[in-house]
Amino acid sequence: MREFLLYYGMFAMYYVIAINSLYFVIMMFSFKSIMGILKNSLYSRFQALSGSEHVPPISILVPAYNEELTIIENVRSLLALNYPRYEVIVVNDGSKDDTLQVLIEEFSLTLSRHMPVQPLLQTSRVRGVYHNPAFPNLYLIDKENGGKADSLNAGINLSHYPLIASIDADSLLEKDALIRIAKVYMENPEETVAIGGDIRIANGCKIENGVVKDIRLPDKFLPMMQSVEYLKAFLGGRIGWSAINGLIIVSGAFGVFRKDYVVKVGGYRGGYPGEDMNIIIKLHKYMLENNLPYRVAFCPDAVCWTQAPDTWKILGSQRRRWGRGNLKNMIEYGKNMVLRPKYKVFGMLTLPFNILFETLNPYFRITGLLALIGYTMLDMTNSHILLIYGLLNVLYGVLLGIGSILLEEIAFRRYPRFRDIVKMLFYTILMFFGYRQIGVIWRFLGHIEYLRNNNSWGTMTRTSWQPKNSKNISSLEA
Amino acid sequence: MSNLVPAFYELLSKMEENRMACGVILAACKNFSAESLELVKRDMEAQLTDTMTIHAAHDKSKHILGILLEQKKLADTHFYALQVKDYLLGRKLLTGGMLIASFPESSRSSAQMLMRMIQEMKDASEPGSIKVYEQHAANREQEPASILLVNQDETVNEFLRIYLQRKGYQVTVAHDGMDGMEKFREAAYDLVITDLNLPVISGYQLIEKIRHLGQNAMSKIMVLTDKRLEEDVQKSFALGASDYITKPFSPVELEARVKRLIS
Amino acid sequence: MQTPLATAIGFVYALCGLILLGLLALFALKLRNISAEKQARRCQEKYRDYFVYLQAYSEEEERLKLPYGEPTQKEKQLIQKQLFELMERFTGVHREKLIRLCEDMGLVALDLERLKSGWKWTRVDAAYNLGVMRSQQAAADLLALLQKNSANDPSLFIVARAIAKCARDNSDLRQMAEFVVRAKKNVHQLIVDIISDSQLDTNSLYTELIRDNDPELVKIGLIGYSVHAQTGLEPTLPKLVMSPDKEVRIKAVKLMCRDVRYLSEQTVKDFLSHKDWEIRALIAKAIGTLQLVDYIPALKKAVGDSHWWVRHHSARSLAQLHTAGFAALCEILREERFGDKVDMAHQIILDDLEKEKLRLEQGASTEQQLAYNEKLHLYRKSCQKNISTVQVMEG
Repeated sequence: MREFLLYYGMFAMYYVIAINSLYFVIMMFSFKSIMGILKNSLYSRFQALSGSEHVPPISILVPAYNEELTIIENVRSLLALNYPRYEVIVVNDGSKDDTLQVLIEEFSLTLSRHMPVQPLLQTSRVRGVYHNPAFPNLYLIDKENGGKADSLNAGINLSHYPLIASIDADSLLEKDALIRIAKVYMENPEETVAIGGDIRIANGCKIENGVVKDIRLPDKFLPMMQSVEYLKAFLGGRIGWSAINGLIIVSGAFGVFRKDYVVKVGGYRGGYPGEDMNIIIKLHKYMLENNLPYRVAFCPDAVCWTQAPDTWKILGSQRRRWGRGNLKNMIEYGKNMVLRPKYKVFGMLTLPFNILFETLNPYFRITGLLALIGYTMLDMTNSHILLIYGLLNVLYGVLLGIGSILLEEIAFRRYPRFRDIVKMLFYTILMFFGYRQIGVIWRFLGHIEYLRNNNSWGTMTRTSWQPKNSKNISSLEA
Repeated sequence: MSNLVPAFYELLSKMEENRMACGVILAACKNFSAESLELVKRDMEAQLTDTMTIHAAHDKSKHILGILLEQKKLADTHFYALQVKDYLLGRKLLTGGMLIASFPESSRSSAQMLMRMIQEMKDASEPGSIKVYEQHAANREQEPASILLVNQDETVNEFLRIYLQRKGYQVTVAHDGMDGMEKFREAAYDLVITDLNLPVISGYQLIEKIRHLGQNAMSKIMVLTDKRLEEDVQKSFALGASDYITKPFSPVELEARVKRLIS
Repeated sequence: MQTPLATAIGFVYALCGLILLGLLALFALKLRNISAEKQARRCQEKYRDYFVYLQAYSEEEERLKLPYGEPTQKEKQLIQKQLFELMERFTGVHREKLIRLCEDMGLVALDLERLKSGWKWTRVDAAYNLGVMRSQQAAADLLALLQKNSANDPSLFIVARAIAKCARDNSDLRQMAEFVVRAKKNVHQLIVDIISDSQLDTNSLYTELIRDNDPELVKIGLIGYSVHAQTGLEPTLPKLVMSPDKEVRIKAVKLMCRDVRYLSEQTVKDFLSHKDWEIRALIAKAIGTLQLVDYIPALKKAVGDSHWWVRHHSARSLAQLHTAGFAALCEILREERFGDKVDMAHQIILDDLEKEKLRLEQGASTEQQLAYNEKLHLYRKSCQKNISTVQVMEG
């Protein structure tokens, strides 16, 4: 028994070393490409580009469910983006509050029951499209409730342009975020199928007229934790992953996609959270199976500010949802794609990494800890093993945290003051005493929810819009 | 009468006779003796980057230091004024603002120019500021044309404010559409120069609202923007703009069009 | 068990070392950034009056004076960045004066020197600077720098833009375009945007490119022409419609659809039955925009096209062609009962009536009222069976 616990504990220890070392390697890729990103943004005149007729037009899709308080300000700020030609399509997903009414009133929209909509993707019933010639690039779709993915699909049907951007209704785009992403697209339009933007936490910032005026770190504990977390994920992780074209997710809060390919893979999938990861996996799968050269890019200087949950309850439910969505995606695609050379970096590295180190993370870490605690209980003289396990976890985490703050300081410098750096460092360390562990438990709870739902109600597995059984959709597009 | 006038009068009239340019710098200064004035003059001559003939005089009652630069146009006078300012600031002599002008650019009559400048120095101005004497302001025969500039680009705002003011216009700056609308409601402007991409109220809405405010229908609207799309040009004109200029722009051309629109 | 554990302990020490290094780098960088920022602010403060002077007198004949008080090299570069902000917004004499000032300050010579630096990003920085200063003498060196670049280099477009700004003649631009087209796929739009930064008259360049054998260059020419004035393309464009490259065909048709003079009866007929749906959609749209009433019957047929966008543009164009076009839409309702054609026609009819009604509510002339009445009458006549819809329209 003792021997087994020790062996398992050592295994967990090496698991921790492996996961972090891989992450470290990915971060090195981030460091490698950061100079190019920095210089490219420094030497580009986005202001001039934002008036150019050579920039591709974009349809911005804003799914909205019960957003009556913030939707006006957000639409206003979207209408004032620095971008030559774009449209904003708000999709009211059967809100129970006055989201529809406040929009209609504010922009004097009128119902056009008969606006022709291209039936590219199947969605819940659309009740009508609202429009006002005085705001020619604003559309409002009113439809019956069908979830976020369904709303995005409805937006795609109405959209008039070849690129679509998905944006959360509670997020704010920086004025030149879209043109920065467009530049990444323009430099390789042939291969780029999706581009993600950088998501940052807006709590604590001063916001005026839909514009982030004064950038400050959050004052509250939870948003501050998430701030550091996001920094690490986006700068440390995604820049590196995009450098080797292994990006598995483009955040639903802000991403730009080629419409033709999104339609070809059957649009967004409803029924489960994690539709933003789902669409990227499907794009990878489609492009690799058809042997098309492609790229899923990440543009860290296109910034979207979002409000982070500031209570344990809301954060918990968000993380459980993520856990649920992640597990669903891994089960659905993992079994077909993992370790198949056909799927290149994505199948050989990204997916295994995600399954081993994201999906299964809670199990290894918790059981490893328990094993070592058990071992120590049996033999108190070897308690230093437990200490080493803890130290490895914390130190490696802190190192990666410092790396991401270093990236921020090299390229972006959104937080100018010296004490901001100190504060971020402090929270980077603090994260490993409680916050991370709770996160692991949430993820675990999410998995339990998934398994329970799956067994009790089959209704949660609405997968009727998967690419396999939607041949007629792919053929609609010439 | 200030003793600067007799001190400079002869020199100025000689320049006027010979049709030569002559720059004048006035600075609000502490008092100092005649010897130190001589010292100051020599110091400055040494410090100025080019060799030239300068004359200095001091008005004890009004605490004004006057400097005359032979054969210098306004642009150069302004440039040397920057150095004079540094010198005076370095020795803690400067107590108020500075006023510069150059004959014949600033005025047809050198004597009149000098008198008016001394008069203007009485209006206390911020220490360290350098103002250019404007004939238009002095003449006041007619109100200068007023321009409202609505733009988010601080560099362009700053430039156009300096540039158009020097051309004799009165310039007010607004930083977004809402600000522009409020400023427009408060006062009538002969011309509004606006961008299209503005927060809160877009440039289009601003144009529309200005057009609908009947009492100010006289004001012209010019669009100055990065947007080079044909549809933006068409829409602007359809809504009632009178001109459309895209960045990067030629300030000379912009001024010519402003002049045409306002007259 | 001892060895794996020892390795783990070794890892702990290594991590401590790396963390220490990381922290040192982070703090050093932050302090450097803060001091650089302070220096920039101080410099800005020091030369504030000087910049007022620059902005007030940059159209006078004489040269602008150099900044006084012997600025250091660092200060000079800070001033340079601030000058760039102005230069990038101006054309004409103002920009020229500021360029001259940069030359007088020795900045052009300095950057020409830096272009030979061993550091890659120093070279790129110098290339960018020379571009803003439009230094024609740098064009040859910049082209050489571009050719040295590998295709995946992120600095490729920075250097390309610098070349466009410094170009001595159209051949410089052409060399740049040829290189970029070979290095990157499908970036024609961006190349035209980059070329538009040049000071040269690029019309002749586009004419030359449009007649080239390389379809990639032809695409650049076609995009360039879609922005600039178009003359003398008569023999070239119709020939390009036959091109084996789909992009070329579409772009050529797009250009032709902007001008009635290209659209002979045969051409319109050919386009409407072209194998590319994009071309059918383009011509369907153009008929409405250009108000070519003669093609109403052809459009009516195109409402039954197999592609949604062609059906959509055809029906929309019919609605744009006043009462005659609208009548054609209504005829479709009478002639057929089911299918995509009727659906599209019906949708556009209702949408059009809805919009017109809205316009009438906001106040319209008697003429518009009459037109609306006539349309409504046509519609009611064509589908008396569907009375409920009519009632909705009237209500």
